[in-house]
Amino acid sequence: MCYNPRAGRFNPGLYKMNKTLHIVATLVAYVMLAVAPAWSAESSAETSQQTSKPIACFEDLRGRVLAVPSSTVQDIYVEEHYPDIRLDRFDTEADMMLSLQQEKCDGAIMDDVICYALVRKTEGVTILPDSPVPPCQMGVVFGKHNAELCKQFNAFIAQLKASGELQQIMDRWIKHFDTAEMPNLPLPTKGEPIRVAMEPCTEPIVFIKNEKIAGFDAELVQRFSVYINRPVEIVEMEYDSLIASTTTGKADMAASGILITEERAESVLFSDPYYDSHSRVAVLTKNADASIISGNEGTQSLGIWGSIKRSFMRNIIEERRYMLLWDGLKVTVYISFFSALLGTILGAFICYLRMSSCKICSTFARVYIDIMRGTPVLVLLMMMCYVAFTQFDNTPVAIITFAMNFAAYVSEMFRTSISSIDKGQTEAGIALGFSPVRTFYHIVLPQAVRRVLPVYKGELISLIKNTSIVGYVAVADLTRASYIIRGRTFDPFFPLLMVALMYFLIAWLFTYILDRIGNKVC
Amino acid sequence: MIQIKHLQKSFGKIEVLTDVNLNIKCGEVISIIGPSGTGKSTFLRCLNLLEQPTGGSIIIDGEEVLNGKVNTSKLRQKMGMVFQSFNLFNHLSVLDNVCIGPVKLKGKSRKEAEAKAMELLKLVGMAEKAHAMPDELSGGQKQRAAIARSLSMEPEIILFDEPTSALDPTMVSEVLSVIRALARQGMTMAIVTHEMSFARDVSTRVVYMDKGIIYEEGTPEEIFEHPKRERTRVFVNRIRDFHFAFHSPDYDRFLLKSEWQAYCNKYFLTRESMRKAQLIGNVLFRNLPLDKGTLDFYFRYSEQTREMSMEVLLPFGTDEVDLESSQIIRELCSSVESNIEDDRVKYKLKLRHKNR
Repeated sequence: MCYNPRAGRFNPGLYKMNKTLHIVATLVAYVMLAVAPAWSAESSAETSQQTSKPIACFEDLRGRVLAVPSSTVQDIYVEEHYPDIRLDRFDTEADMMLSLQQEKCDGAIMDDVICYALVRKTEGVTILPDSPVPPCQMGVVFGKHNAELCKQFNAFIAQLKASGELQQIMDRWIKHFDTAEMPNLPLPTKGEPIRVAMEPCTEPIVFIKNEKIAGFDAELVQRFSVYINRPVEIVEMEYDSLIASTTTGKADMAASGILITEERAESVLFSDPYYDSHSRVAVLTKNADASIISGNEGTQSLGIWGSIKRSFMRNIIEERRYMLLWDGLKVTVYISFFSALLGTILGAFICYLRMSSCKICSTFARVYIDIMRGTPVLVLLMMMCYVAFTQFDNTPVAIITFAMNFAAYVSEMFRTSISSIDKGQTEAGIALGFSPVRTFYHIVLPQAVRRVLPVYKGELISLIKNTSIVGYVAVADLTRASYIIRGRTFDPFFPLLMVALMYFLIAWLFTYILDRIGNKVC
Repeated sequence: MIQIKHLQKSFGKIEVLTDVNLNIKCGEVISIIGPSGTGKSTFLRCLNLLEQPTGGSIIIDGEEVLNGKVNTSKLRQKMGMVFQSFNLFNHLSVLDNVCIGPVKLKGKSRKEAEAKAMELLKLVGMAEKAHAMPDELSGGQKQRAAIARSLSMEPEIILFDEPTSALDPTMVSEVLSVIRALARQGMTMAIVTHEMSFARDVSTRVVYMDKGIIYEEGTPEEIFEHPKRERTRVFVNRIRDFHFAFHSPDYDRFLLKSEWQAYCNKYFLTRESMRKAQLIGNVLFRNLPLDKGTLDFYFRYSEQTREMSMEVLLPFGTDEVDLESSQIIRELCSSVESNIEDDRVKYKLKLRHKNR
């Protein structure tokens, strides 16, 4: 829009003004997004009127909507025994709380330790006194080949139970988690480390406090480390990957409040249980029967700006959480940059093969492109990390995976843009006395680059956004940082918004640099 | 300077050049003419090896270039080429188009190359547009810039591949006058062209190519005024044929009339010429033996000279007929010849022609 083809010149003044306007407009849109939920919460609080019967116990939820963590014991049990309760399934407890606050559901069922912590941080929510779901036991997971380690852990748990220490640890974290601190243990530094897979997004089980790992599982692991005198290396990953990681050898053990089920026990070893987890149901206080409300409720409204400011303080400033975002940002930029660089080089090579007259080469390139474009990146990433390159660090493997995927897309872009250059251009170059290679380099390439740049930019942006799935293979990127913050503050919205804004800025920065390079090249 | 012997080129099974022999001497301006599809462009492209010939030899300055030992890039630097579709480098300004060769291939400094380029651009009248991009130029301007670009490598010969075929009629002359100026300066050139009058007055030698060979060559005068061979004459005089075959006395006279009429309209014959031709035709068809077998009738008109002639091939075994006794024929025809061709009697009638 700022490139005038007739003048053939770039107008920097017009470009700058246009670009600034564009950036400002986008930022304004983000701010409006930030205000919207606070405003809607304010207004819904004033307008909504509850007419149905107040909830006093679990039975009262019949015929209503209940939020459950997807495919957990709660999910399966309620579905089987209470077919008249409609279930909404969620991945995180924070999302369930958000749904409850927005009155999309009438109750949210979850493990008691999480429920206590969540309710303490959320206004206007009360816990029902009963839950029909039978208690479950928490255990630590080991790979089947690690029976020796499992035995040592069981002995360790037995010792803690006997001395009553286990009960103390649990009481400290569950009942007084606001003030609970990790003990100062003399951690061993020598010897072969035990790799422990954890998802530090659930308070008070495992979470990040003041940039350090905390929670009762974390404390247990540290104590175990002292007990067997081996250092601990913590591998952060998605909850879904925890159990698999012990069988693929990415980790020796996994602990994040994992519940013992028969299904899971078939593929991995469980330690002896160290905690009985009960289910609890949270409901909105205004919907609850007066008899179960404890009475310490009643906070005044902060107003729109007040609540934004509080969200900002809680999610960004407290416990130096901006450092988490900053580290995640660095990882995202790092992965994006190297994937794009490597992918572009690989893409150019694939394009060369695809256009070569050698039949085998071009067929190979075609098959490569078809496979890469036909496979979801996430599936490819999991296969690369958990099947093909299990012994390598996940970050470089992720970079290679994204590069491979990126290469397939950009190679086709390169090909179309190169073949869109008139054959006469090549002929004229050759007739002038350039060798075929130099003709390509001096004549065809600059024109092809100019043509491919707009679509290439789009693909680059989508690569940057695609990197947000590296959390699945335990790389702590920007998206992952937002998950960790949400797991602590239970603010469902604000961290996501921050991260969206940061992705936007990265994409903008990358395309800005690309524009600069593009203007220089052609 | 360049000797071409028995040059052959085929694309798959299609043979485009069968046997081309030509010597190009320094300072010559050679125009290559001929009907489309006879391999003129292919011949030119074979000269600088844009197409690899499949047989024969090309000897440049005493050196065989088809044995694969020659540095083709170096060779091409000595031969400029101007294309029908200009092929200016679209991402470079006019000046950069003219500079890129000397800077990247001859290792000249940018400053030196620019000074030389401006000189060349002045020569072709494009100095004013030196900083324009190719897509801002008209076709004629593009072609002149392309000529400057080919000159920038200081070639010993320039090959022009139909330089004006892609141009509007209004822009043809500006390009031709640049080529004419180069010819005056003694540049060696080979030009494939359809501009007959240009070929006639710019070239030192004209080559008529037809069906993959050099059919006739000579000075412009020889080729255009006194072509020796039949196909050359048909081509340079732009002679158009009308043919009708009589199988019996009851031929379809309305079909003949409408086809002849359509032919005359197509080549813009005057009403008067048409009337004359029909008069002669009527006499012929009345006097000729139509009942003895197939009789072929040809009517020929030259777009170049506007001369008209007729040819009649009598059926096998029929005797000569007295045509000159007809007053109409005596009056309207300048000559009537008869001879025997493949056992058939052939009459050739030339119609009287008012000189322009």
